[in-house]
Amino acid sequence: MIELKGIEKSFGSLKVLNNVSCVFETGKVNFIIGKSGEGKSVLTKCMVGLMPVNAGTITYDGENFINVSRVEKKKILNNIGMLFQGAALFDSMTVGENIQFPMKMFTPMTKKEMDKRTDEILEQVGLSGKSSLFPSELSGGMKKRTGLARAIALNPKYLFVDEPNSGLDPLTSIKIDGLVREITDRYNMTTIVISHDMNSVIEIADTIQFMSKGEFAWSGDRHSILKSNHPLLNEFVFASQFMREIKDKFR
Amino acid sequence: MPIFKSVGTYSALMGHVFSKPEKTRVYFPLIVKEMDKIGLQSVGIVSLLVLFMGGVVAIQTASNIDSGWIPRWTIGFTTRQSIILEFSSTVVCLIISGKVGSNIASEIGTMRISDQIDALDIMGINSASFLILPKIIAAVIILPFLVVLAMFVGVVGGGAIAILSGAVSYNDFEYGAQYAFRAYDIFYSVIKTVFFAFLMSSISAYHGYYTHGGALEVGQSSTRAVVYSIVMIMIANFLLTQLLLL
Repeated sequence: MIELKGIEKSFGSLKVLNNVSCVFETGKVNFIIGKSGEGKSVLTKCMVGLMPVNAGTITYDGENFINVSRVEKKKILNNIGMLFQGAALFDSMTVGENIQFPMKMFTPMTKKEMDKRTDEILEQVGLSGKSSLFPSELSGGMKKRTGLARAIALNPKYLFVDEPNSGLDPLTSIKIDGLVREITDRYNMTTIVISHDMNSVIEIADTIQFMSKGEFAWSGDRHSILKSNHPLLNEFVFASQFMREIKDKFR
Repeated sequence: MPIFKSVGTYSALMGHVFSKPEKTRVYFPLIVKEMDKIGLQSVGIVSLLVLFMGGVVAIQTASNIDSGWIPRWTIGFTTRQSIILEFSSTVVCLIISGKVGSNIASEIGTMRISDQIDALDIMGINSASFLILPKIIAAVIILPFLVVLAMFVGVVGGGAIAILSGAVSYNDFEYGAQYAFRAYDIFYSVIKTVFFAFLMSSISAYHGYYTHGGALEVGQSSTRAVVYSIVMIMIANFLLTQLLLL
């Protein structure tokens, strides 16, 4: 469980996050949605320690993450996996080496054990036999799956997924969504997905936080989002003619 | 002032770079790899440039000796002193700044803009130390060897060019090249190289590490890395020469 209390973040006089509070529950796929520039990425960066917050607290299963020593922070970070929008694979390493990298850095595993674990994860994400390929040889979907494989290599408790479907075709997007759901259920993770993709939201979201002007303006689940009368949320969710028609039929 | 901000940020970065690494044994293969990239892959270009530099110094010296009072062996002496004291260390490090410095800045800069550095940080890895320390250690270890090689190639090659072009006889060049030799001059040059190697690798890494934006900014960081490395090498060259030779 990840708990945010009164998170505030400013860049000079520009307030990006304003008193953000929320609980992301374990074993659930928690979505943060919202228009570009509303503070989703900044919030995520604050949550994983890439940016300091100006005020507020972040706790991971009760353990404070703000203003703690490097050692304590590292203990929590070792339980965080993250899939970046562009996958952020290390270009100089093969798929297998990318996945083994956190194992090499943080575990006493032997080469044989690491190879076995790598094969397991690759099979899970549907990339068996691709261990020796370099990131430059992979398609967008394969890069995302490799990124996801690296993120779960150490069985983290918390998984952050940033725009998992950007740049992917609808079928590959569905596969990636399915993987995120499956991994969350299998490892009982607290998963946080930052997305604009309403298909993903409807497909796999357990909880949804809608962000607007640096605040969580609405929260609910994938069933209530279609019935909500929140004007900003409706503007975002039913932005396209197609979605507006669906809404009309749904009602 | 921006310069104080840059010096402060650079110092803070070096603090992170030299903090305790996560897993020391992971660093050894990285250092070896960097030594290959920085040193061994520069042997060809450095040898070629220093060979012709030695030849030019010898021929220019020969062409400027008009007086019968100045012996011809001065050509060998001047070539050796120029190569050992200045060309092998300073000029080779300037060449390496252009070749390797831009490479370091663009490699780390690309990692920054493609979130690879953030990925390391989120894993709990000290990204500054992991990415920069092996490059600094490798440069500080391998560049002195490259400079000693450059000394040899510069003096021998320069002599060969001067002799073959008829500017000086073999005996005169050999006598001059051995005249009043001081081993301290080699030590001086190697010490300078250690400082230059640190400056070149750390300044280039600094510019790469703090790249923001996209491909355009990576190119700008790379250019800045080379320019600032060269300026700092020249300033350090002056200071070290004052300290070590006077």
